[in-house]
Amino acid sequence: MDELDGDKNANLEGARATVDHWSEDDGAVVIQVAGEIDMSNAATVQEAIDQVAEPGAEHLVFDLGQLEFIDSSGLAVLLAVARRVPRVQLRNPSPFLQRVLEVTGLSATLPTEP
Amino acid sequence: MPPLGVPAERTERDCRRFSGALPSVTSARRFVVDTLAQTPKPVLDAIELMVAELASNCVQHAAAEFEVCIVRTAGLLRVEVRDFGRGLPVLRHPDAGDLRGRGLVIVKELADEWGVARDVGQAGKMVWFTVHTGRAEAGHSQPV
Repeated sequence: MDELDGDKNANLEGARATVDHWSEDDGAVVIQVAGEIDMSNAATVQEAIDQVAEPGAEHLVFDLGQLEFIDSSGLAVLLAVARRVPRVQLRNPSPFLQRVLEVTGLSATLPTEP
Repeated sequence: MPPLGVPAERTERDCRRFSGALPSVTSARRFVVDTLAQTPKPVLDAIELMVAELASNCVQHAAAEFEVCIVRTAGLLRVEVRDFGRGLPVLRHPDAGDLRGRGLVIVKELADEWGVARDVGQAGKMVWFTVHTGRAEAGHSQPV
């Protein structure tokens, strides 16, 4: 598990997230993003996800059940992955996040798995 | 004259200033969540997200100090995010493939009202939004 600080050298403390991953029997790679993503740590979260989401990945599931906060810079991280991986789904998004995805028109690009 | 949408009586105002560094986005979120700890979670979730979007705009585009003010009256919360940089926020209409440009869309959709103000001749601007707390959830926006 990678601890992802937004900016280690700053006096201020940015958002904190952890990224975990595992493979499921059907071949899907599950990436669990826990904690919070805002602009302060979006770039480091992006790097961690890029290391896991290898080129050629076909099916990724983002498990967001432990995610406490995500803003548009965090959604941009997920969108960047959805652009290059054929099948990307969300697992356990909060009702509030589902509403945000709807009002931003992203529900189809980042669908919740059935 | 009181700010738009805020009655002159019984208002509480809490303000804090933040640097233009990236972690200030997180600090601004913590400030509103701590200050509004009594607010119902669905409302507070929306406010925290809107503040993150507006603070991100300050840090990203202006890279200047910004100030967040929370104005509380009976049944109404007004949040003001003021920066001291140049440029006006732009409401974009990103399509599903666009990575950026969703911040003000989120504010427009989650706030009851929102708007932009600037002092003529001064650098910087203020983006504000209001949320009616008398009901469980913010309704449709009415951009002013």
